[in-house]
Amino acid sequence: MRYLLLLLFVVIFSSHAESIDDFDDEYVEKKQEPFDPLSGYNRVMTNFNDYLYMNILDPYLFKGYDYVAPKVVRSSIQCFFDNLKFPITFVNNLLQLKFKRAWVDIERFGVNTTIGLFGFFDPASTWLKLEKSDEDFGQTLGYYGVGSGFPITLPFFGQYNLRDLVGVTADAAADPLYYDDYRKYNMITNKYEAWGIVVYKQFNEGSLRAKEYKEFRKDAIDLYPFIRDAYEQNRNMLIKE
Amino acid sequence: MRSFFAILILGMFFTLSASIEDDITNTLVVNSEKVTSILRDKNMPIKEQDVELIRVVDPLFDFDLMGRLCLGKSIYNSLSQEQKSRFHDVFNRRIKESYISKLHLYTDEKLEFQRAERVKDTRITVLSYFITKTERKPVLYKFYETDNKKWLIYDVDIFGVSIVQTYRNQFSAALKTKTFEQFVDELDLNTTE
Repeated sequence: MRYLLLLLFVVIFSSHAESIDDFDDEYVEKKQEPFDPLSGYNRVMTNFNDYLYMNILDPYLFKGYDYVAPKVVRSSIQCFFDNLKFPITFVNNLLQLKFKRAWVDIERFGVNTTIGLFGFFDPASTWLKLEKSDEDFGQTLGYYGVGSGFPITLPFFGQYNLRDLVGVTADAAADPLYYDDYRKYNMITNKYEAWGIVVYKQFNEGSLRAKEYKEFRKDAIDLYPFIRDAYEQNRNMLIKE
Repeated sequence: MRSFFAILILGMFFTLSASIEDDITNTLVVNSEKVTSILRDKNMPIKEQDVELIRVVDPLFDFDLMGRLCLGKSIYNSLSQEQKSRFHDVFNRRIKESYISKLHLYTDEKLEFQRAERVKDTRITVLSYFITKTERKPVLYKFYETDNKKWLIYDVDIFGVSIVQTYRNQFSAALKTKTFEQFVDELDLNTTE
């Protein structure tokens, strides 16, 4: 009996003794640099964007904008734009064979456009617990195994990679706020308006994320690779979802 | 008598292992309530809030292990005892400050915890969501079981971005061009900013 008890204890305690090696397997050992042929340009562009954010947008433009449109208003505007993304998320959910979510997209769009007053409010999430999905063609490509290509940093719009940039171009076809001469029905009248909307949308979203950005950039030792890594990790999570 | 003991031990073992997931989620829920109540206390000066926040957060994390993981096995093992203790000193301060100041960002947001999931014998993850007016962002807490049967956090994925992985990439890049002393000095400089 004594031996039995002893054995039991040994089994229980030894099963939990583990070494640090087990943890190391969970993380990528970065032996080689990621494929980044544009790194020189990307670095410059990241610094440009960061300068713009920290010295012009955040202290002046976002502040002024906040005075005209407080956070509640800006969130509502964001909701309005998100609601108009319906065709994009819907198509990409279908392409990834996520039929349940595609159906939820339809329900959400119906509820938010009517009861949510053209999408300025989001009763679908708050009252009906219909979860918003975040899908785009970049994620669809990733879902079918397309790699990220290489990182590209855009002025004003921030971090992308080749795959996601191709995705954005493809998604434009389903975007109601995009203008195309060859398209039969356009919600807006010309290219300039379309660009104006894109820039305003980015500006509004940026103003909502200003605090977050300022906080997260503090964790960077070297800003460009930090943003590049965070972007890739975030996109990989969205693809897996 | 023998069988009584056997049953007692087995019984203890099973009840412990059955409820550990719930216990961990509960700990997070209780502590996140503490955190929000500190953050929403407008009469408390920020400095005092930070001290209180660290008091809540500190016992949940294994910051030493985080530091080790951020450096990676091969680098960490090559360090002298002095280098290790200086690194932990600087790193722990930095990571605590960074975590606490992030908590200040999310005072109005709702937090929703899902049930814990056992990924491995000694690993449990808890998925939670920050719910803002426009978004629902995932935050994943990763726990491991220590040798003395405590469950501690060794990494957090914020919106899919792992704290450890991100530091790991940055540290290994920095150490390619700098000596370890230069690297720790810079880390220290960043903290005191």
